[in-house]
Amino acid sequence: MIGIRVSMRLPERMNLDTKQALTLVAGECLRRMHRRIDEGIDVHGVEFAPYTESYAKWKRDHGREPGSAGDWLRYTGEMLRAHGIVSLTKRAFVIGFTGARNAIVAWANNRLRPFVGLPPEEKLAAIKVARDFLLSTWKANMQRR
Amino acid sequence: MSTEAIERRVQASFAQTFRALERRLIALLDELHEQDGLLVSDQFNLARLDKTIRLLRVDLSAAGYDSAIQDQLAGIEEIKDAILAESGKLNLPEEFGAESESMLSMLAQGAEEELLTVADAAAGAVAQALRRAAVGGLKLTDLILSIAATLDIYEGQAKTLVTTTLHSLHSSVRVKHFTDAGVEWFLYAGPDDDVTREWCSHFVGTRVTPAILEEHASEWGREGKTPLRPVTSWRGGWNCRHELIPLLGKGGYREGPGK
Repeated sequence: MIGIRVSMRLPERMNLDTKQALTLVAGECLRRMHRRIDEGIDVHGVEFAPYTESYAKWKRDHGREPGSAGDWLRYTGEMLRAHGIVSLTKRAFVIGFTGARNAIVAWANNRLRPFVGLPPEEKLAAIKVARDFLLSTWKANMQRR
Repeated sequence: MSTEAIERRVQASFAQTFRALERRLIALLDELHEQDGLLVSDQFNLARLDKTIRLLRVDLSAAGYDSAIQDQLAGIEEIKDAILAESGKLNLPEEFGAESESMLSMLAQGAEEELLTVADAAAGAVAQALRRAAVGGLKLTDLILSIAATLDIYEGQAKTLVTTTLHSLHSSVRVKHFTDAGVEWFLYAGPDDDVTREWCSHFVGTRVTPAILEEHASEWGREGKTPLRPVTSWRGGWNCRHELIPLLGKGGYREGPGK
């Protein structure tokens, strides 16, 4: 399977909605991954390998603008449309691809231009989202008591 | 049955339909008079062509196009169960079941109308090829090849409709999932190039809410007899290359639409 799995464990007694927190974290991970793809940057912070001349020409011949914002890793757009949460529990979520065909295409693309994954600063940002949400919920709960 | 398996089955059904239609048309064309490979423009041929054109819609139905549509609708019903099972994995609330039912009926209705339009267009294109051949001295073999190529295009369109319907449903599930978690804004992400629809180009790179998208559902080339709803499913229309990415807050993007 190609994708990322993020898990989180909190004491039950805190009585917090971890599913909601994890959904928001997943959304933030997706946004960051898509922004990176649009900028043509891989998970290691390096620019994507350029398209071959023949592929770039073929894309241009079909009305695309190779290498422009929003063009990277898209032709029909099906693979990136299939990119999202594929599993979510109270403790973990998985971001992957729906449909076997899309997962295979993603796997192949990822070999050429690694785009699936989170660099360390994105992991920290995701943790911050979860922490902020859970803290604000917890504070609100405490005030209601 | 998985959504991929259902998709494959419905696509096979369309392929079979178009092959059957092609065989039937070729059999009809075989009966025409020809001389040195050219169609003869005599009264018999013209009358025969007229009859063939009139029967085209009936032929399309007889060849199984209607049942392929029914198959597609039945496929959507099966997919509903598959997706609801997946939504269980995503921990979507139970009331999602009722909402997805109504989304499915809208999708099914939209798909059926579009498929009938494809059938109409296929019949029209074949009729046009027949008329041109009768007056233009096209060779019978070339006519048959041209009809086969025309039908290939429409078969491709019918298959695309099936795939798009399935992916649209997934798209709605995803947006619903994030809005339930409190996400208000989404980034309308994707390319802005020569083949981008006008409607999409107004939104690419901006932040939107499902309500904003619905408000503009019938503008900038998206106004049709049946604007595709919900917009979160279809975005710019069939085969749209754009997607909605959840944003925490406003994400630093300007509000759409804007160009």
